Amino acid sequence: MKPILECQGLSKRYSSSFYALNNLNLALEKGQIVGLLGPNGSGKTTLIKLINDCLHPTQGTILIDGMEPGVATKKLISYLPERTCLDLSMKVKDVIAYYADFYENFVTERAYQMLQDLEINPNARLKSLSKGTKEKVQLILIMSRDAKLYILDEPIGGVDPAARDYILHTILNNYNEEATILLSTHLIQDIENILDRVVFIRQGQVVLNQTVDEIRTQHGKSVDSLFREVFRC
Amino acid sequence: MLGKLLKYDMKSLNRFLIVLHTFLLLSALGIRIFLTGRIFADNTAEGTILGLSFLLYILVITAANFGTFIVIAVRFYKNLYSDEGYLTHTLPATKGAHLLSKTISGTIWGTLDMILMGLSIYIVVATPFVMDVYHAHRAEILTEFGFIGRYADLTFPKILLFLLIFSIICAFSSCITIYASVVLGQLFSGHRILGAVVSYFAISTIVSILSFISLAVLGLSTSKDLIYMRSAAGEPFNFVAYMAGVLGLSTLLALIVGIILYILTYVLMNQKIDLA
Repeated sequence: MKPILECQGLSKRYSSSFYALNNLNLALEKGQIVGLLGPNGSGKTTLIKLINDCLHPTQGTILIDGMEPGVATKKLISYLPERTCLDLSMKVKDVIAYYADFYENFVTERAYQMLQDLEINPNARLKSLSKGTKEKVQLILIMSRDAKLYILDEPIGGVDPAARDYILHTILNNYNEEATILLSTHLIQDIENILDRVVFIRQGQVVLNQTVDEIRTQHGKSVDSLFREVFRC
Repeated sequence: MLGKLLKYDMKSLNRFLIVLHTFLLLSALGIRIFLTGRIFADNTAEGTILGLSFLLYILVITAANFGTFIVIAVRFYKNLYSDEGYLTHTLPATKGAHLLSKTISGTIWGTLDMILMGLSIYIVVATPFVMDVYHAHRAEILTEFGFIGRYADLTFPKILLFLLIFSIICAFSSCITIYASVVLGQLFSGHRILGAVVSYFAISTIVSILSFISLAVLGLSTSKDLIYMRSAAGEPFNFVAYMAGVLGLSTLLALIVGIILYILTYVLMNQKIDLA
């Protein structure tokens, strides 16, 4: 089966001596929830930006469902960046209309249902919302698309534990079995139970790529414990 | 996809620029009703008030013009290279479509700005007193300006059409100069906005030097002809011919510079620019 994401010899150099990614190789199959884990500065966000065509690789190739990043792959990927990327002068309902305009696979009814569940007023302006609520709106927009690959960069970092549970519940309920979720976070304990596979990344290279079951049986540890062991300072 | 991008780019520019130009036209109306419409400039005091009101008005139209291009620059930078860029760059559209959409929307508003400036100048200047003087001495005024010989049949619609083409090309060139500067600024590792400002002044200086050299080569740069309204050989100085030459050359230069900078911006956006 063709992998949904394939990186070969991928490198990204920011200055003459600093490589954020260094000859990284990775292939992910369809239909899994994958945790992309690593300490600060390990290259997680750089990898995610490269997949989403926000950066140009210094070397190597990226294939998404067999295609290089471009217009066709952007239709397949639903990307939640680590920062607020919405025009804050817009109203929530205008942003929904914006997504519906640009993405054919956006399901407007689903977005309004999630807004209602989270008691977010569609007529509110984004700039009037709290940081956590803005993050929830962004996640609603991302999860309202029927995408093949969801890439979520720190989706639960800025919200309270109750909302965190709702968000994880939302992620699980709103992706189909064929889709893949690549999720980057530091809050491993919170997401461990929903992950199928884990990719550890350090100094721009993959140091571990195993299913959660393999980790438990081979290492006899939880993902969180293994992470602490591998990345001990 | 281009149509959708253009819709949102226009919406974003309209929000500020409709307000700005409404203020421009209201200022022009105010100056016309309370100042120029009541003054006949037949004594020194009224002449002074008239002069001051024109000074104030020049400040208003300069601010409107400057504000228009600032709004266009901010939209380009914010939408493509601030945090918003993470959404814009992941829309299913090519970088070429983004550039084209912003060039079209910027050119539309740059042209509208010049048209509305012209309209506001007309509102301020074309008082009944001025129009009466103009109609009473129309033939002499037109002759003095040089609407004679091959320029005698230059009708008002023809002049307007020429000015419209000039405005569109200048607006295109101004927008793409801003966009190229922003994109060049992104090549700096830090202080990218400062980099964009430096790039803008560098491009403007190069274009000004090129423009000056071109005018000098074609003999259109001597200002004393304008001051004395006579050429050195004593032949009558034809203002219309002079302006046609200057504006024609400026249009051509703006078009060439605009096309070169558009290609440069397109190439850099596609191959070099990383989001911060």
